[in-house]
This record gives sequence, C-alpha cells and structure tokens, in this order.
Amino acid sequence: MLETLFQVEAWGALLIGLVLLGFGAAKRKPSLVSLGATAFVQMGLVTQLICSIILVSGGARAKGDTIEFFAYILVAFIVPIGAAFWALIERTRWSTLVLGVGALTVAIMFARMHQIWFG
Amino acid sequence: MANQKRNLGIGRLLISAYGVLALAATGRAGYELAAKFNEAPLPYSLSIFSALVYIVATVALARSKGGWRKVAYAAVIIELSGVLLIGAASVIWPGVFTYNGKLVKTVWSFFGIAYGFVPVALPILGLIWLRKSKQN
Repeated sequence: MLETLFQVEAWGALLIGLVLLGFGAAKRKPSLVSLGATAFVQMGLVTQLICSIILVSGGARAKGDTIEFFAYILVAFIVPIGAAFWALIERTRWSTLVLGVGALTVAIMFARMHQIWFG
Repeated sequence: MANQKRNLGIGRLLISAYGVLALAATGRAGYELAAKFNEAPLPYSLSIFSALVYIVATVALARSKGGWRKVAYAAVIIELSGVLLIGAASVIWPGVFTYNGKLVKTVWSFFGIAYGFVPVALPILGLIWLRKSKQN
C-alpha cells in the first residue's frame, strides 16, 4: 500500500517534471495546466506527510532515520510552493521550466524518502 | 536586447537550480547538525559551510548587480574550489572522512556524485553566465 503510494507519487512527479520541461522548451507560459500539475505534486507530498504521521504515531519507524525522513518531506514541501510563487510573479516560459525543475526535485526527494523508509 | 532577455531567462533557471541546491544542502546540514554532529565533525562542518555558500550564491546571483556581482563571483569560485578540493580529497584520502570505520560523506564528496554531479556543474555554468551577462 505504502509502496504503491510512493511509486505513484515519485513517478507522477517525474512525469510531470518532464512534461513541464517540455512545455518550457515549447515556450509556453505558466498556465492553469502547469500550475495544476505542480499542485498535483504538492498533493502527493501532503498525502505522504499525512500517511507518515499516522504510521509513525501508530508506532512504525523508518528503516533509516525517521527524523531525516520528515526533514525530507518538510524541505520538499517548500519546493513546489516556491516554484509556483515564482510562476505567479513572473509569467514567462522560464517559470514553466522552473516548475519543471521543482517537480523533478520532488521526484528525486521521493526516491530518497523511499530509500530512508524501506532501507 | 533580445539576447539580454534570453540571458536573463537562462539566469532565472540557474538561480532556481541554485535555490534547490541551497535548500538540499541546508536541509542536510541542519539535520546533521541537529542529529549527529559529534559523530563526524569535519564532514558535517563542511556540509554547513557548503550550505552557507550555496545560500549566498543564490541570493547574489538573484541580485547580480553592483557589489552583489562580486559576491556572486566569490561564492561561485569558493564553491568550485570546494567541490574540486573536497572531491579530490575524498578520492585520495578517504581515511580523513572515515569515522568508526564508516565513510561519512559531504555534499562535495566525490565531486557531488550523490547530487548527480550538480555541485560541480553549477559553479561552472554560474561562471559562464556571470561572464556572459556582463558582456551585454
């Protein structure tokens, strides 16, 4: 269950990141589509945070360091939000690329979180 | 003019990449400092130092005018030296970074291999961008 959730979040963020980089390369300005995709990545993080809090308060622990695991989630939280703010302030194709870089960063962080949790 | 705008755009991308690395290094250094600093003071001090350099570099590149430009140059050069020196040291003298029989890594170990070599690529791109953006 948790494994599936991780897979969906990580691959989803990777796919969205690549599509957004493609949008940026096609010179598209940030739109509801690209911001919505970024929101989807953020939702993945919210879901992960809620599930992890429930699991850890139920006594579960990461194979690695549980504190490090939460540090990753919390830092990852800032990334799509920051990129989205950037996109709202500066509506150029470069912001679409920044959204893409942000989503890819979150994908990498999900992979690392998976590593910490499952060992 | 068009060229200048283009440079500005690529600069934005570079700044965002720097921001991400600054965040990653700060998160890592903060965790190491809070959870286990005494286990391996040298590598963890290097993590904190690299995090600070990345923060300064991000801010300076984002401003990149007047005095900030010099700060940006300095930060990017310190970064490049850091990743090259610590990268080389981690290969040549792994013993220096070994604590209790375990190799402790920093952001710059093995030229930033844990971060997809981004730590060695970014300062080079940063220097190129700083040089190019001055010409306009």
